[in-house]
Amino acid sequence: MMAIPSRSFLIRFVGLLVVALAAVTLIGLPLAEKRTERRVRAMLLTVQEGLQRYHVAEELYPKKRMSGAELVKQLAAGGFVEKSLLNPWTGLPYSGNAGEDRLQYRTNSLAETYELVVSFPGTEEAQFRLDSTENQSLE
Amino acid sequence: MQGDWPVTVAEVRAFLPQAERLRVDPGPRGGLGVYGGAGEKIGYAVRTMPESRRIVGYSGPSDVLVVFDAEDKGLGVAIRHSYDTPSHVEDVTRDFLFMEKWNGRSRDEIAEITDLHAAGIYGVSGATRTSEAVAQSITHRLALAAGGEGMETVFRFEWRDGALLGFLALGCLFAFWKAKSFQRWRWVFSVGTILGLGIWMGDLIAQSLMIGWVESRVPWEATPGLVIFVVAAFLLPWFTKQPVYCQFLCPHGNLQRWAMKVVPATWKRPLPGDGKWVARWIPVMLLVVVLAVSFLQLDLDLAGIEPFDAYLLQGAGVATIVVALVGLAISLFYPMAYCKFGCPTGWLLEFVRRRSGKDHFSERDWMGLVLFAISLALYLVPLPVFLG
Repeated sequence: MMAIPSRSFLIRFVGLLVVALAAVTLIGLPLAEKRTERRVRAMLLTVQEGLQRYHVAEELYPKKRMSGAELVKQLAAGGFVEKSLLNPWTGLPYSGNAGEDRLQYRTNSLAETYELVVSFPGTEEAQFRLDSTENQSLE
Repeated sequence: MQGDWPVTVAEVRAFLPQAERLRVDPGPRGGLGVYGGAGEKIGYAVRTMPESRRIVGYSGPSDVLVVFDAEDKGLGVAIRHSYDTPSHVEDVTRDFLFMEKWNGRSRDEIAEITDLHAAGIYGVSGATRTSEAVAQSITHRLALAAGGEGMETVFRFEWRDGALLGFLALGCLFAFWKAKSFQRWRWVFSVGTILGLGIWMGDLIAQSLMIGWVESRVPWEATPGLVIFVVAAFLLPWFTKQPVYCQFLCPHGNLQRWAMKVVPATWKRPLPGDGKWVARWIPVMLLVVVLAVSFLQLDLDLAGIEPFDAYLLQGAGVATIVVALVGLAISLFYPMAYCKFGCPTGWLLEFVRRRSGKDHFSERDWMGLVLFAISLALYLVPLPVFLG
């Protein structure tokens, strides 16, 4: 077998690295999106369970409209969800973290219903919706 | 009864804004009653999955929602999810003429449709197979709901199948019959593949097509010509050593051959040895992308990594057009560069090609082994490892 000159070896190595990086980017972007989506789904179901526990204890849902971080903080204070629940967009604990938060909590005037909405980035359009009446599951 | 991915009120509200509740219909129709705030029935909704799962468009089946009003007149249809090529599905969704063809028709009227053209329902240009499959999914589902047999799995041989087999036969003739009097017409055939096979029919062998078939099923009875065409593209180089599809049939390959003739020969540059070595890995890396997208079900339209969808003109996505144009531009200076160094489908076809006098493990075999190892890893390693 013929030996490859060191310059050629370097060119090939760098070239292969560039090609591999392009492939990793092509895979990485949708993969990261899918991983985030799975984390969002898991977080939403955990918050939904927390809300249901809250409702059993308080006989009402939290009364005001709030962001995901505020809701998790309130639920965690009452022990309805773990304090360590992670923000799926930042990977850091939800409580006390001011990073990206696309979760919104809403309720009606009597706090008898709840609605958890995750919107697409930079829009009001709902990506995921869980509520106490029509959309009780994500599937 | 709702199964995977149940229909939600929000989906139905797009057609019936007063919808407040869905109630499963336990009867043979197997749909959903749609109810308003006062509990009154205001409509009916059905989805085509799983009953129409076997109806495959270009590369997979589609789940379609059909909503009717209280008088059982169609209000609208929506594609909920599809395993077909995303860009084709988008074309169908954007074609209001096709999507609104169902509005105002009664449920029984739609259920009785056996000939789409006779019913005034025509395929969407650039996404004919996908739109026809969507239409058939709807009629099949509603026919079953009405107590009928639905669409039978019958062997259908249409003009497109005949045309494809005609192209295949001519390609074989040009590959194996070397008489000069016949070969001098090759340029006509070459132009014919670009205009006919490419722009007119859009039936190019692509990763998106093959992955769709692998993930759903091979629609041998609905598109027999295309199935034979694809099978022949793989078997011919295996048995005869002749890359019939790549050399004679592929419209993009033929377009590159014409592009070679556009610029003076002095402008052409040979690719340096190291450049060739690196470039040979490009299709392999693209196949790694294909494997990852398929095994991990990632949201990436595989039609965008190859230039073949660009031939559909109307329905082509930006990515596929960019790949086509960049590939052609490079081919002006490095002849057939896309075929040699960019085409994952061509790499696969070349991989199966039998070559004489080579009984050692070549670079290509190592590349194949890398792909096999990656497939095995993607299959065996639990999904949460990749998806978190």
